[in-house]
Amino acid sequence: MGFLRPRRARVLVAALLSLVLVGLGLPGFAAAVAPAFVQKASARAIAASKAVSLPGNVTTGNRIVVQVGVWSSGNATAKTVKDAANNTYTKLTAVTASDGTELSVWSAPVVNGGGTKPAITVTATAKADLGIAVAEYSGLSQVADATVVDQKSQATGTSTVAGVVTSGPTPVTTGDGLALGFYTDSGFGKTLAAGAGFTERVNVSPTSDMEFVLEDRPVGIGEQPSAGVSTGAGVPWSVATIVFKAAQGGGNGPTAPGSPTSVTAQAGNASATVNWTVPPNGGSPITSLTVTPYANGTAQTPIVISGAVATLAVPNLTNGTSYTFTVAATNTIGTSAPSAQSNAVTPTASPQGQWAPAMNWPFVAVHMVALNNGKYLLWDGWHQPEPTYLWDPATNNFTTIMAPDSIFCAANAHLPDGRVLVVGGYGVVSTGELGIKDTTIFDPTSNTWSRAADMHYPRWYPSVTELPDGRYVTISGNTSDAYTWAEHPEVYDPANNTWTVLSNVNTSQIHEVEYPFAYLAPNGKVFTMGPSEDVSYWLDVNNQTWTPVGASGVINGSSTMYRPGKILYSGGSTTVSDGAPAMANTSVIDLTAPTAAWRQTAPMKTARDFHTLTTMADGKVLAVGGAPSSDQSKLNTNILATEIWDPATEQWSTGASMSVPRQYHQTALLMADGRVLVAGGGHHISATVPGQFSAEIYSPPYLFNGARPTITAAPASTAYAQTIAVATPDAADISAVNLVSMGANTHQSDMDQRFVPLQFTKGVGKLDVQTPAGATLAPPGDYMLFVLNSAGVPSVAKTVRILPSISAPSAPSAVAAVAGNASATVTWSAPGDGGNAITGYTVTPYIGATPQTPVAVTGTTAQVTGLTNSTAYTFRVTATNAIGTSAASTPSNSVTPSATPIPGYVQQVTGRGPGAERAVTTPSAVQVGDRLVVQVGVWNTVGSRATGVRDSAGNVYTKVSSIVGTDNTEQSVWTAPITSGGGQKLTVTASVSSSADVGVGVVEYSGLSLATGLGAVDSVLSNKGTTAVASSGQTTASTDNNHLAVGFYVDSGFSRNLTPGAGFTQRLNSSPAGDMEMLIEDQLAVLGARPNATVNTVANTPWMVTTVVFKHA
Amino acid sequence: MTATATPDTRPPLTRRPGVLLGVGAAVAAVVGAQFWLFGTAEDTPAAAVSGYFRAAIDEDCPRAFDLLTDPVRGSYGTVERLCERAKADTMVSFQVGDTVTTPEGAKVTVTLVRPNLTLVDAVTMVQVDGKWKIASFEVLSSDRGHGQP
Repeated sequence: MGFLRPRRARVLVAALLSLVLVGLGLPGFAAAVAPAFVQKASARAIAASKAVSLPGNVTTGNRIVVQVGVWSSGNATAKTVKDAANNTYTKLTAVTASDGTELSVWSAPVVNGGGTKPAITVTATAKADLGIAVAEYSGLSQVADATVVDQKSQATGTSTVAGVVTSGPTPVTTGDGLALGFYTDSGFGKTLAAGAGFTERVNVSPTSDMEFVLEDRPVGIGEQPSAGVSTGAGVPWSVATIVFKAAQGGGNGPTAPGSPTSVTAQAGNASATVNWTVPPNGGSPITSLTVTPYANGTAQTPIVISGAVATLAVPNLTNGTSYTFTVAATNTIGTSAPSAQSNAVTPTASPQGQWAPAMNWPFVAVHMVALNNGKYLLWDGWHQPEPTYLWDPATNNFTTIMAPDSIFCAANAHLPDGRVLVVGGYGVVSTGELGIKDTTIFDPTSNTWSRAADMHYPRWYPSVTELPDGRYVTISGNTSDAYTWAEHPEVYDPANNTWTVLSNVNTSQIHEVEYPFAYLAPNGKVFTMGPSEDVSYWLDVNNQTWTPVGASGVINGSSTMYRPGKILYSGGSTTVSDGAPAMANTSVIDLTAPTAAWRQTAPMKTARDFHTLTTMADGKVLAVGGAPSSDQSKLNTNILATEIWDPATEQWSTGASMSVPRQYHQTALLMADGRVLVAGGGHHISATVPGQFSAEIYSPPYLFNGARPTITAAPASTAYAQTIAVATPDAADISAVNLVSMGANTHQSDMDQRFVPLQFTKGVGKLDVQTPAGATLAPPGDYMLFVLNSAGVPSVAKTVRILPSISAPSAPSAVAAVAGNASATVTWSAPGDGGNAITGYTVTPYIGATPQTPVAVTGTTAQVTGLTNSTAYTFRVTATNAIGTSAASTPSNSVTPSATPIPGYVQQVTGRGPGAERAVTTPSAVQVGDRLVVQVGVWNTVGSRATGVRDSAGNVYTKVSSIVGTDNTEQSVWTAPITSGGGQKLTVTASVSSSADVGVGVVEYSGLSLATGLGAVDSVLSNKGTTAVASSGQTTASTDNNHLAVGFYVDSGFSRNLTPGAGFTQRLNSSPAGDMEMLIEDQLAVLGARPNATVNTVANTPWMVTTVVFKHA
Repeated sequence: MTATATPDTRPPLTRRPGVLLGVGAAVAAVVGAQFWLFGTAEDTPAAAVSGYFRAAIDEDCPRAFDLLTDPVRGSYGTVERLCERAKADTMVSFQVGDTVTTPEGAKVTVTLVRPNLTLVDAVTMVQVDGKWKIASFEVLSSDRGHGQP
């Protein structure tokens, strides 16, 4: 053992040196440690005093927090808190509920008794029912008195209904710290739970005596935490929030990050994928994360990854061994405490894939369409007009957009330009036939629906199929009632917005009670399947012929074209709706064969009807859900296991089971990250019968076979028979390149489903990929391009648009200019590249109609210098590729450079939905030096309020104003100078005190003051009312020229068409909507001006308006 | 090859048409009598709903169109399109049910009777310039989904 002594000596010397250096204040050794929970204890008794000991030794330098609940008929209260080590406890707050129960909070820094378990004794003024929670924390301020408290709030009341009660937000915090929430009631047998955002530390409930909760969450500067606890009805309660200052001077500087949360693991083959929520960065960017695997509880070699990432594929694990994982975050100040352990996973050689927990959705997703911007367009049914929902997987936000009509059980597919074509719908909701003639188009660039030319026939349950030339054919569908069908297909030409009836074709053989299946085959014809009759036909659109092919042996099943011209058809039952048993039959047909004929193959493992078939990134087919019979009314069918069909073996195998059964009206699509999104089910005869208001995401087995290859670059568009370069650092290991259509699914039918393997050759750092030879293999439009490595693991896909031919680029769009001093910053959106990469842009300034010296750049932003101050300019942009140069864009907004910066609008985003938080992401990257202004609208029945705003880059937001309308809706305004996150899209998240309808509007401005706190605000005025013209009233006089008056309007959704007030320019308008409606507008304010933001609404609408005059830079 | 319908999987084109017509006529008579007895101008949500469906059945398209707000007008686009759909409608009768007030206005239930299909709608009503108008329709129940006999 003698050899240990020198080591002990070295450790001692190092420790002493550290102490000396800390004493000298050298930052490298005195790094702040984020506040962290250490241990806790609780007790309850009917006594005059009660002692409690923590389970482990306390640590000198930590802090003990004691929560005391006291009730007696004589209104006893807490008198003292002491401990056996003579630490000094200070009473920080006390509140008494209507039934006489007192909640008090006490705290002491651990000065004495380190390394022991000192008994902590609470003494009341008389014998009483006592409830005591004790928690030890590290990283909190060591001050001995109440100055440890940064901010606090408290509230008491009696709940009328079950729900969340809160302390209300504290005043704005002045630094980093830890918010502790304390809840007490006198025992009503209620089950308590910590509120959103807080981590529960102590929960003594349900009991018939004292019930209490202690919870916490890290906070940063500028926050207003509000502790909430879910309780039952009829309970006299008290809640307090106390923000304890962090160590290191009360948190007035950056600290180490908080601990990552929500750490989950998914098993793979000798690997696991670990996901977590990145914590608050403590005021300094997170530089790395450390993931530590635990094999059967024993820590393994940690893995350190750079940046603030939220996922890691952990390789080199041992199959058959149970693993958990912790994650810690590091910034320049220090490293957080490790997270809680993840769930345990056991890697296996043949994983069956894994389902993520179900997500609650506010509707049943009967229709699901993937958009080329990564979002999903979804809708339910039975409404006129039909609400549709835009879901952003990145933020889990929904945006409601009203469709023009009832598009329930319409046909849906993508147009070549990425818009969504919807054909037909449900006409009997009010006045009309069963089908409707509507053609509606959704544009994902503007998030708007529009009507196109009507069809000649009304259709409900038609198919729609893209043809090689970019036209679309629709087949079948009910017309006047359930017993009549549109017998003649029609062809839609998007270029001319016309429908042409194929009058020589009669499809009466496929009088479907569900959708027919219709696939564009490599021979250019449309292969059409009548599921109910088990018939199939060739439709030759150009020659207007209709030729029988044969029966499949599958009735009312589900199908997918898993390779060009190869169709898989399985399951079903003999009837569509009356409860006939499901079947497992499986058939395939090869339409590229000289004589195409159906061929039966091995049946499914489970007979199922109404299941979905989704061709995945590796070309295998996933079957999800379904019912054991054709009874559409059954929701809980217990067919939870998935099946995967391998084209190589034509065999089904069983995959992982989902948690929610789904059958009729379910939908499924392959996502760009290789997972499969599944949602819906139910609502079979109305929107009021049971339905599955949820979605789940399936990670197929291929995501558990090790690291994923990556695509670092791919052309945004191309044409047929081209060779395109796909950049990947994994080129040497790539085994397949697959093109998969975006997908548009409803009723077991993906009308936009296509999977095309591509030929390729390997280069250094790239693949040379051959695009499809012609449009019959892949008609024009957007596709997901996956590369797969030798283990069959797919990359995240890049979106590639297949164009009919190569041309010069389109004109750039959304050209916007912001004035500077003798300069302007011009930004624009990249146009379609014509199938050939854009090599550069030319920006031309204009004075009036006179072009000035152009500027050439390669990106989508340009700094144009050499301009003349006080002269108005506009800008036009052209794009160039190897084929030629585009037409010029439309002119930008006019700007006038000035030595004094003039505030300028840059971009906006808005979102709304239910929940305790609402996040929105800016459509473009933000710029450091700009300012974000954020509007938050909140409404629920219990008066929820905005409690904080944060963003993904850690910018610090200050609350500027808050006003509550006559209907208890709150509008608050927040702002932050952008000091970090430049060049990135920022996700801005608003938190509220309890789950509510939350609307968030964000606008980025340039040229505003970057002063912190309220230093950038010149004046602010709010007003509320119900008049037809909403107005804040006039602010005080502007203190300078070129300040910016921004008007904010909120109401709780009365389908009003809001318009901006005179003299104001609208920047954001989410009206009309049945939910939160918001408008933001602005105007420049000259010296002495008294701006008054007004918004035109409708009388009797409870509104709130705020005018904030921001100072220029 | 021509497929033929399988009798046990396909519903008959009509089921007891005589009974249906009789029931339809009786319901229409009751509704008509109610309207005659109690109908007023569109000064209540229920009266506005009744006025809309009465106008649609009567193919009084401008009057029906006037009782819609913009979002639901957009379903039809123009008076002429609403008229085209109203003329093609096979609705036999309708019956207005309960009215529930909401923060935004009111919801009125209405039963729509067509051959082989009876729906109950919730009609969302709002006041525009003091008059009750229809903002949207939602199917609360139907006696058949798709493909149900």
